[in-house]
Amino acid sequence: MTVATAALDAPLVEDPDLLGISDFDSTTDKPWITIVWNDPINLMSYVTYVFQKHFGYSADKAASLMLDVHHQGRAVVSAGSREQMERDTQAMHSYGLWATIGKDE
Amino acid sequence: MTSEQPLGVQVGVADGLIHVHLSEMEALIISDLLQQVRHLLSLDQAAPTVRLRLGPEGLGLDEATPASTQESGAAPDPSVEELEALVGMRQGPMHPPTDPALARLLPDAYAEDSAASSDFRRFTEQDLRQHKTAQIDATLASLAPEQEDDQAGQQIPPDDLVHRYRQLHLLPEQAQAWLSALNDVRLVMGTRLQVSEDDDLLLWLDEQQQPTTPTQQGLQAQAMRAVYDYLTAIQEHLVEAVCALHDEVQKSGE
Repeated sequence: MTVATAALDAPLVEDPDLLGISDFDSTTDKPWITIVWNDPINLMSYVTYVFQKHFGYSADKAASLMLDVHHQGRAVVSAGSREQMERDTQAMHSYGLWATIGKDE
Repeated sequence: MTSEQPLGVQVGVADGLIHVHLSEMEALIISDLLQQVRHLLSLDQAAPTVRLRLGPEGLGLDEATPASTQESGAAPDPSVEELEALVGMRQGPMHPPTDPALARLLPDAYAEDSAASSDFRRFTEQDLRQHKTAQIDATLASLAPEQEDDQAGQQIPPDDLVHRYRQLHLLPEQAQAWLSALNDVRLVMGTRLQVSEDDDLLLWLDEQQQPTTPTQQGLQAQAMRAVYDYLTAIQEHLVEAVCALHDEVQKSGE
């Protein structure tokens, strides 16, 4: 299973090898990332607000990320474990932003 | 484009609340659009889904297409509902909705990995739909007229709808629900209208008005675009108000 459900605060099994989870990513230590993509509908002010609200970023950092999205078409807004990126992406979707999970390469 | 009526809605911040002053007509339009998006979020179950099912063969994963059973009015298997409640998990569809507007509300989570996207969607789409529906419900509730006006809403003559006003006093969390819900309405309308990055209203209207006699469809699209731009203005005002309120709370805490 690749998705941490909101109901589970802690993993039931600490060591994924115990479950023989084949897709557990042990081949690389590069973190996963959340990418927000530019779209013509979301307001720049709203996107900045969402970055502050969800990630706790400062107004400056949030505005700078928003401008990256706007000018470059996309921006990496967070990095970390796959489970955390899935939570961040789900949160971005709940705000109506267009976000995807990827690998930092 | 000009409008006979100025933008009626006013948004302000005072006493830890966000105050919204809008006409009955505006409240009616916003409520109606919210309800339409709420309905949209309850649709498009047509994609094959995997649901947990209790049967004679025990607990197994069963491929099912609930669209046909739901449309024929068959009640869902209660044992499935019970099990889903028990494990706190409901499995949803594996494919994005076929309607582009609904797909915009419920996008794929992995850009280059459709298997991972399907997996993610199966476990999260129901939650996302419920979350969005709850934000819409909270917005509709805060938009409702106060008790004493309860019956007045039905009786206002159409001509008076633009002259009678409603005053809303939103808590910060209510305003946040407004932001999410209005944004979802804008995402649906913007997708339907095929709004693009650089267009502005005048340019868009020019393109629409190519035929000398506007078609009924063209007129409807123009009205929809005007409402879309109106909602965009409210969204902008509300973001400013929520940020101003946040700053105010922080200052008073220092």
